[in-house]
Amino acid sequence: MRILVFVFILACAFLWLPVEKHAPMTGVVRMAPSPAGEITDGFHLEQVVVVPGVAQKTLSENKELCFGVRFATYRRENDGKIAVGWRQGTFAKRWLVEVDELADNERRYFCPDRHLKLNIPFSITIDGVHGVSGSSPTVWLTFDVSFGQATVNGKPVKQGLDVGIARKVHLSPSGLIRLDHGAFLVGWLCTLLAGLAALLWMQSTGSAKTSASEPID
Amino acid sequence: MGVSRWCPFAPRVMMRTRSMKAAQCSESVITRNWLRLVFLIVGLFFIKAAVYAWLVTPLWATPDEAGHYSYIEDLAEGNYPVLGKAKMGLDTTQSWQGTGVAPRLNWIAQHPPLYYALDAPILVAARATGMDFDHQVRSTRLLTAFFGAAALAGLALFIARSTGSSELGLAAAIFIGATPMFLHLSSGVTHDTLLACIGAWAAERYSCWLATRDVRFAYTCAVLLALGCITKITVLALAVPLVMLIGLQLLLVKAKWRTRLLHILGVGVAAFLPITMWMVRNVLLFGHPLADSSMLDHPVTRVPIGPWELISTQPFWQQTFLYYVGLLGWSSDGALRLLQMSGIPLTFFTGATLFTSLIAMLYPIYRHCSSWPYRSGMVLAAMLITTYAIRIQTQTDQVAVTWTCIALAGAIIVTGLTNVGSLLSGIVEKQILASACVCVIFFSSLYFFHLLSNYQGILAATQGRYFYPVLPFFVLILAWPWRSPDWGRFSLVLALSAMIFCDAFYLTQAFRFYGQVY
Repeated sequence: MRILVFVFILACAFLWLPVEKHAPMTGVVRMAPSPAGEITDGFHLEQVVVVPGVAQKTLSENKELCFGVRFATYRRENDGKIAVGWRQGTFAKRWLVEVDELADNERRYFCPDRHLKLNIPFSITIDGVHGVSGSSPTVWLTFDVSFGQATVNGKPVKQGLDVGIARKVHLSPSGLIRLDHGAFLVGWLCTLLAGLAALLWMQSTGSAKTSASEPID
Repeated sequence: MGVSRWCPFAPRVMMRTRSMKAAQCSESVITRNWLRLVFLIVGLFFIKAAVYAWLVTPLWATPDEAGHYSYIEDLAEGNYPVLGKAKMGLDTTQSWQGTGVAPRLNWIAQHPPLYYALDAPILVAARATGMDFDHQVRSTRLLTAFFGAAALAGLALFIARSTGSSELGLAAAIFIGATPMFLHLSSGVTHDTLLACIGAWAAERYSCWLATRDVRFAYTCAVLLALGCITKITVLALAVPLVMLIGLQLLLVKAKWRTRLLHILGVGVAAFLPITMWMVRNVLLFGHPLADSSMLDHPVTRVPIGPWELISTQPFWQQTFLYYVGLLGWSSDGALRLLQMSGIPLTFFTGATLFTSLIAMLYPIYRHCSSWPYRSGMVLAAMLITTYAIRIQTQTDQVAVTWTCIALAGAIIVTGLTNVGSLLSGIVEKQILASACVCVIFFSSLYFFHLLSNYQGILAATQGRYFYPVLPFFVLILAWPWRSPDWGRFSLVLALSAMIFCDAFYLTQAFRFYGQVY
C-alpha cells in the first residue's frame, strides 16, 4: 500500500515537469485543402513564405518563433524520412524527420533557434528521403495563398502550404502555480488530497474487511 | 422515525424477509468512516469545480451557457421566459457576441424551470452584493458545481449499496468526477449536473426501495424523478421505466389489493403530476405537449435513414462516447469553438471503459468457471484486446472508440439477458442490476430513435451528457463484476489514475484551448 501511495504522489508530481509547447499565433486558413502527393524519394516542394503584414503587426518579434507545416499520414504506418529545409537571408537550417513520428493532419513545428524574423520572406523546402509509394506521408496544400504559393516537383501550383507561425513557450512549475491565479494548483491539490485520503482509508480499513461480500453469484 | 409518519400504508407493505437481510448486508458497507471519506472527496470535487468555474472556464464555454444564464436572469427579474418570445439578455448577448448584436430568441426557454428557479436567488444575491456582470455569471455557476458534487455523493452511496462494496462506491464517484466533461459541466451554467444529481439519488432511493420494500423509498424516488422531469423533459425516459418497475414490484408485495393499487397510483401521481402540468401548459401555449426549440427553426428537411445505415455509415455512438468523455467549449464569440479531448487522456478513458465493458460482457462465463486458469485467461484476453485497441487508436482514431461502444452495448445486453429473470423477484442486488439494464436500454433506445427520426443528413445532438440521468445505472452494470476485494481495490486505483489524467488533459489541452497557458 505504501508503494501505491508513493506511486500516486509521483504520478501527481509528474504533472509539474517543465514542458515546451508551441503556441500557434497565425497561419493560413484551410481552404479546399488537398494533399501535395506522397513525399517519396525525389519529391521536392518549395515555397517562399511571406507572412502577411496585418499578421506581422500582431506578432511580437522578441519571442522564439517557429514555423509549422501540416502533414498527413494517410492514417497508416509510414516508413522513411523527409528533409525539411529553411532559409532566410544568410541563415539556413535543415531537419531530417522520421515519418513515423508525424501526427496525422497536425502541424509539425520547426524552430530555427531565434533566427526566424517575420518581416523578411523565408523559404521552406520539403524533400523525400528514401520514401516509397504506399508508405510515405504528404503535406496539405490550401487555396489560401496569403502566405505564398508552392512549387511541387518544379511546377508552380495555385495553392500554398498549410503553414503556420507559433512561438515556443516554456511552462515551468512557477508558471503553473500562477496559472489562472492558482486555479490549477488548487485543482491539483484537490486531486492529491482526494487520492491520498482514498489510499490511506484503503490501508487503514483493510480491503478484505471492508468489501462486504464476495460476488453473490 | 416511524414509517407511518411518511405514509400511513407503509407498515402493511413492508416485506421483511430475504430482501431485508440483503438490505442489512449492504448497509454494513456504509460505515461512518466511509461516509466521512465520501464527503471529503465530494467536498474536494466541489472546491475544484468551484475554482474552475470562477477562474478557469471562460464565459459561455459550456453548452448553451448564454441561454441558460438568460433564463436565470429572466426569473431573477420576475419574468417568466416563454419559448418563441423570450430573448437572450442584452448584457449576455454583448458579452457573448459583442456590442451591436441584437439579442436573439432564447431557445433554452423550452426547458422546465426547476434548475433556473434554484439558481435565480443566487443571481439576485450576487447583484445585491454589487458584483460585476462577469462575476454574476460565475456566481450562478457555483450551484452547478454543488449539484455535481451532490451527484457524486449519491452515486457513491448507490454503487456501494447495490454492489456491497464500499471501494466500488468510492471508485465510481471518483472516476465519474474525474471525467473531464463532468468537471467541465460542473464549472458552467447548465442543468446537466442537476440531472446527474437527481438521477443518482433517484437510483439510490430505488435501491433502498428494493432492499427494504419500504414504500416511502418508492415515493421519494418518484418525487426525485418528478423533480428531474421539471428540470429537463428527457428525464421522462428514465421515469417511465423506473415507475413502471416500482408499480410491478408493488403488485407483488404482500398487501391488500386496494392498498397496493393506491400506492401504485400514488407513486405515479408523485412522479408524473408536475410534468403533466408542464405539458398541459405547453399544449395551451404551443399546441404540443413536447414543444421544443425546433419550433423556432426554419422548416428542415428530414433525411430518411435506417437504424443500421445510421450507425454503420455515421460515427453515431462513437461521437456520443467522445462527447461524453470530453468536449469543451461552445460558442464564446458566437462562432463554434470546440475542443474534443484527444491524446493520452482520451486513450486512458477509452481504454478504461473498454476494459470494464469487456469484463462485464465476459462476466457470465467468468462466474461459472471455477478454475483460475480460465478466469485469468478471460481477464488477460480483455487486457490484450484493450491494449491492441489502444495501439490501433494511435493510427486510426475511431477504432478503439468503436470497439468501446460495441463492448459497452454487449455488456448491457449480456447483463440484461442473464439477469432478466430477477427483475421482479429474487435476490435484491440482481433485481437492481436487471432494473439498471431495463432503464439503460429504454433510455438509449429513445435517444437513438429520437435522433434517427430527426436526422437531417449530418450528425447532430449526439451529446453523451444527455445520459447523465441514467449514468448510475450504466456505472452499476460496468461495476458489477468488480465486487470482490481485489477487484474493488483495482477499481479504486483506476479511478485515482483518472483524476491524474483529467488534470493532465486540462494542463496539456484545455488551458491551451482557453488561451490561458500557451
